[in-house]
Amino acid sequence: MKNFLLEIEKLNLIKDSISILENISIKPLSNSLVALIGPNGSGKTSLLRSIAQIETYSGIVKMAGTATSTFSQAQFSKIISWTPSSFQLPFSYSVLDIVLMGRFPTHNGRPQKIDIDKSLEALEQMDILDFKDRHVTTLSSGELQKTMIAQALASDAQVILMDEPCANLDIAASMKLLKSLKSTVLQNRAVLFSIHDINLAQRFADSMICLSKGRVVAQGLPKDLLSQELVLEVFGTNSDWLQNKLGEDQFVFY
Amino acid sequence: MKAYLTCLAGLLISIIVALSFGSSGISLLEVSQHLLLNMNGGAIASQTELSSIIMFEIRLPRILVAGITGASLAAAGVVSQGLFRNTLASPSILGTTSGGSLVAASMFFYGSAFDHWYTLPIGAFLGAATATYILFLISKRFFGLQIQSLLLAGFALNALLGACTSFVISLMLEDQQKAASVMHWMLGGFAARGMEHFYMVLPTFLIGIFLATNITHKLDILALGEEKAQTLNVNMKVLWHISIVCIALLVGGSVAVAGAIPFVGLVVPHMTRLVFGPKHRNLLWLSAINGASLILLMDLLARTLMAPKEIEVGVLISLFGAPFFIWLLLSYKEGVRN
Repeated sequence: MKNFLLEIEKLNLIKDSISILENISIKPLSNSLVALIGPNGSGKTSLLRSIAQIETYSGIVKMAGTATSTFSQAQFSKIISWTPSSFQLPFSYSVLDIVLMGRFPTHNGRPQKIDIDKSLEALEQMDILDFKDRHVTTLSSGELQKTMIAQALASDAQVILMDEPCANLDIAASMKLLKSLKSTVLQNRAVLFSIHDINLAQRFADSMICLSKGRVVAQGLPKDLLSQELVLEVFGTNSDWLQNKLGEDQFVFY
Repeated sequence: MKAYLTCLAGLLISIIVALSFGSSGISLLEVSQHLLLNMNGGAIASQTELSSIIMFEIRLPRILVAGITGASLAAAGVVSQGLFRNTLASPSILGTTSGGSLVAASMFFYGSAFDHWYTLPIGAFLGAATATYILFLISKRFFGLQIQSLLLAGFALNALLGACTSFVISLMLEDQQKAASVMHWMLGGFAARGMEHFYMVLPTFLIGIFLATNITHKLDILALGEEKAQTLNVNMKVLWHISIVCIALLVGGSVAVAGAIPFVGLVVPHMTRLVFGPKHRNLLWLSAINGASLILLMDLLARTLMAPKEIEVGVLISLFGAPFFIWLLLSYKEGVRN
């Protein structure tokens, strides 16, 4: 039997009298890698922010069967991790310090050996263990992005939300990241991430959710979800499935 | 540990030098002898009694007041910069110091400043807290704590509070004694400060630094951004309130005993962070130690540069602090990553 980690029922978000998200319901997500796709302004970031309780929404978000509104801040912070798409770090902490901060709900400012070990493990997973003592202000945007992702991976959260984790990464690093996330979900975790590169998404994600104008227009397996009609309707672009030299299906736009 | 030993050694040297120099010269050897004799309870030869009185009854209380004031201002700077996530945020730039000064000047005007030893610190604390809250609410409500808006709002608030303070002082001009004492106090200095002033600022320092120590790890998390901190179990409302009370206590106490001394809360945390790193727990205590050392050395210069005349410490620090602020402003862009 699958252990459902995240469910959303009839979530609405209104900001300044404008409806941002409308009646969002998603089928329960188990330990899987789920890509959130949709054009700019479709509500991907707002949905992630709502699940992370940064936005005040109406509706129900459940984690492991319990409505998150009933959790205390301390409980909630232990089971969910949210990584925004951009960061502004005012002070020059070391990379390891930043990753350790991801475990703050557990260590509360007094990191133990297990916190350091898990942080180092996450840094290794992101291929930046050599940078652990470097100051974050000396990192490139891609390296900083990897640091923030390592921060999420180091946490004990069962649900990991990432807003455009591939935004500053080159294609090789993006593929490596998604492979890492894929291995992460094996540890009974659900990862929900927004992404613009549909091809990468369909290649690695276990399932996809497509948003358009604040509504869910499709949810399912990449192969089932991505159709010429959907892409034309949502993105206004022609597309097709093609096979590459390895015989793998790839989605192309034209 | 090494960082603490280095800073404490700097403070010890500052104390010894500050004890040694003044309009009446006492050699370093004499200072060491007096300190050792005092520690061992030994008798002091009659010929050195005068220098002993100068050291322990005149200079030492002044050193204690100056040191604790510097520590308070630097600690307040650490909390301000952590709360506003910006190295340019300091009590004198955010209007905190001006708020404390306005209330303190008003208390001089109404003659209530010295009703009791705690009236001035409490008044200055309330003024500092109100000014910081106002700035924080304006910046957060309208500009999302962006640095440009924060500085502009701080500039406007400083100008407004400064104008109000000038108005209050202008009302006192006819009473020359009152006017002279308030002007003297406004410029910021430690002339004629004694143990009573030390006891006046001690409680605000102790409570302020105790509260600050307890929020340092949360200020570290806040560096990741307010929303991210919230998802990492930092209760932002509680953190804002504690931080503002903390800043106001530390600034209010120092304003009450030493007037408006600018830039310490800007320069000391910034330099300490550059050398010893940004973690707030260490930064708070190391900055407090370095703030004390800086003020002691500045006060020494203030006492000796034009001896027997004294320059007000606030004026002297402005001469160093203002160019530093401009340099910081110019290099600000390099310190921020998007």
